[in-house]
Amino acid sequence: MSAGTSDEGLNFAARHSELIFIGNRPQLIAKVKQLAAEAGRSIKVSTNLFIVARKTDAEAESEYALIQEGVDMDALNNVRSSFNRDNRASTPARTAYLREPAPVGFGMGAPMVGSPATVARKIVRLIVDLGFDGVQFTFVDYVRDLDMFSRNVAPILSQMLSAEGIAVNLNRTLGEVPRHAEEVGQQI
Amino acid sequence: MTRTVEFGIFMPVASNGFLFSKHAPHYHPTFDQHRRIALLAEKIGIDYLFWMGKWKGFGGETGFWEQSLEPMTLVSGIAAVTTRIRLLATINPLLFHPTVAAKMITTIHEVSNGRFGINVVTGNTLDEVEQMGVVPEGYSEYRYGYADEWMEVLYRLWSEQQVSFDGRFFHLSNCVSDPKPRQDSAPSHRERRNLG
Repeated sequence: MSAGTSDEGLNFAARHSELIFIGNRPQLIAKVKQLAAEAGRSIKVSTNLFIVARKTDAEAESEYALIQEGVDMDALNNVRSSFNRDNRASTPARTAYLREPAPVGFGMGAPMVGSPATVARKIVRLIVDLGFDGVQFTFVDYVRDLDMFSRNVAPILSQMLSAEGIAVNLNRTLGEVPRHAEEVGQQI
Repeated sequence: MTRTVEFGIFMPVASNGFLFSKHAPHYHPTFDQHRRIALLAEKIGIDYLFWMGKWKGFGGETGFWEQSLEPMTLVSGIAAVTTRIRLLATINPLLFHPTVAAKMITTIHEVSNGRFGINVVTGNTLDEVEQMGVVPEGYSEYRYGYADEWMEVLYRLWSEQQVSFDGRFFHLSNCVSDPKPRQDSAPSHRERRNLG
């Protein structure tokens, strides 16, 4: 796999990758798939999502607001200046969100904040409307939040996707044969 | 054909994960934490785990990314304690000669029973590689050319008995790399995958 948003990065992915990570730029999905098709290949496109799922929308939103309030401006400015120094063709696009008023981190992906049902709905909308093939999750506290995600969000999310005709392995219990077992082991 | 979607976890390989907030947890990456995330993810049907590579942090009051574990070596440990989930680790061609990388990847492929893949990066920011003094003159102009040639050497080492190669960046003479990656899951850029 590879990650990239410049023309060079997309072309590299089209030649070599099975999966490309393009951040929050869904407008690149069709473009990189077309480049891969021209190279006689196919490619999946993924993005990152930052999951803040709590009991209620209000609880999740207040936690997210607290995180925003505590943004470490020194760290943010150091990230910004490192990218500005780099000054590559893709820098403006890659760092666009760093110019937003209060990004809470770097690489965490678009925030999905709310109750389990709200978060599931937001993820489904993103997958169905924008056409991503994959999503990588980030969390506030990985071990605690992945556990909560598995209990509260995953069951609703897999049901909603199923209703959209989208198959996932998520929420299957250990021991079941993965849907695409034959594909496991064909990576790199 | 049914559309399929895959879920992964972007693993917190550097301090504080991906958040720089005084009101978010502050921690450094540990194997134990990654093992716990990996086992839980595997149990609930997450398809893959993905690690970036980071060689220099951004500091600040929260010490953002000030400590990081190296993804290839970390993933080898995770491969040994998981059985099903796919594992993707980041590698920068500038930092690993393709002959070394070919064998490292083959080794992790072996440990993981064919579940391993690489994420090839040409550098997130230049700071992290400049501090090592390994950035060649004019690199920013040909970074993808360099990565392309690196990949070509990898593919050839994985598919040919001996490789002699006289490229722009790499020069191999009768270079060998055995074993080849497991045949049931041989990596190849020519492999086409039906994505449904």
